[in-house]
Amino acid sequence: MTENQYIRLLPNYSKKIGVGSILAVVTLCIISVTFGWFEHDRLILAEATKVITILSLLLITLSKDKIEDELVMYIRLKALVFAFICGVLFSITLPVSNYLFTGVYNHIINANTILVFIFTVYFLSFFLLKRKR
Amino acid sequence: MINTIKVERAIHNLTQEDLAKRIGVSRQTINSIEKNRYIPSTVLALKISQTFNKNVNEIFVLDDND
Repeated sequence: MTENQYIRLLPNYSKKIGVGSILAVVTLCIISVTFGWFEHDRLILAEATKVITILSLLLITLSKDKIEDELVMYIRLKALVFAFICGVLFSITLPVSNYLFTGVYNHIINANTILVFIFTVYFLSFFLLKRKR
Repeated sequence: MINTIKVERAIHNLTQEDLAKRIGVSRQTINSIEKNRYIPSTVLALKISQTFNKNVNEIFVLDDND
């Protein structure tokens, strides 16, 4: 397959940058809670954490594998479709399950929750399908 | 679709890794093609046949399910 037939992805080292960013954010959160940093700006810290985490997950998703061939691309596509379907089902069932367990029906779902769920399902299915190939 | 890659590899004394390096894919991709878990693209099929100096339809053959 020629280069222009592949989906354009970022180089493999972007994955390391993404993982590093997530680890840095998690470490910063733990330290700030432990030592009481950003006491007055906790909301800003929470928002920044959300944004950096989502961007890092996107960076990891869009990075190439060490050997990116057509089978990996096919697996990537399958994992993405599966994650998307799971995301749709999750967004439908979450308000219902909330109502069943808490008695409160709230149809407004946080976009970050769905995005993190989709990314998690994508990474898991991509990893499992790659191991099964 | 069935294929004779394993036989051809044995004739040419090539490992999966050797063949994978020659055509620029991973060893796992060659393994998947050999076990009929993945049908390669036309370009990859042509590269494989070129490596073994044969026509594509000598290596890849349609079966009753196709």
